Amino acid sequence: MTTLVATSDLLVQATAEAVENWVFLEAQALHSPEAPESVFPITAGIEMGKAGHLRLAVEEPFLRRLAGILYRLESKDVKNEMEMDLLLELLNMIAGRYLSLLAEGGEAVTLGLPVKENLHATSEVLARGVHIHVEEAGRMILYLEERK
Amino acid sequence: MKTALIADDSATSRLVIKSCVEMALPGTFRFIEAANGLEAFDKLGNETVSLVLTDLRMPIMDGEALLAKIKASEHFQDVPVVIITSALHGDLARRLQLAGAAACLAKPVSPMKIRETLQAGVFA
Repeated sequence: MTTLVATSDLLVQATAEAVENWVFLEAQALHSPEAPESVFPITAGIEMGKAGHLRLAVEEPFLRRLAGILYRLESKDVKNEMEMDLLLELLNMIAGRYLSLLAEGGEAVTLGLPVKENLHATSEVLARGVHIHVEEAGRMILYLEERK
Repeated sequence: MKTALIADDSATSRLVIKSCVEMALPGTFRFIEAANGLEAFDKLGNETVSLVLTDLRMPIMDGEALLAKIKASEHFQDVPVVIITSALHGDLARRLQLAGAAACLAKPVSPMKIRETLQAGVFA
């Protein structure tokens, strides 16, 4: 049985730290955001045991820009598989940082492998997630479904 | 030039780790890559590898199993293994170091962290 919960400040902190340490870009939560104009067609999800299930969707140009920064390529040269790999690895690092912060508080943690999710997951993330803006890249949307 | 083996199921992560090592210790290593622990262990048999940098959670064979296999191997037990993982915490790091890991680093890694780890620890 799962229930919906608001994404915690800890998750926002974990996201900001993961992004800033990885690509040296500032990331911060957006308050009262409008819906993004277009989103990347695939949402990623990762199982975190008792901590719940974390999903990530991003604005359409987000991964292309991030890939450009990491691979030092023009956006037009970024391939679809690079974007997909980036999406999964980004979620992996955010989830890992989040669980590390939980572990500092004495929680036992487990982490699965990041996977592609279905269209329903994307709608859920967009409707309920927390929006985080990353400078030069755009917006990511994270939704934490806590497990009781 | 020494050879470093990078094991990670994410091509992005392998690229980032490789770039960090190159920035930290320019011209020290050439690189071979593997997408899981099994592939990494197979490649150890084909090359003289001086350093293994491995992710923890990978399909087919994870980094902890790879570490155990390397440390149990007569041929490869002296090869230093550095674990690089996204969810690193104290208990896990202690367990991995007891199992023979030379060092444990949290993702994302940086050239500075890699340099400190390799110069002060692994190759001191």
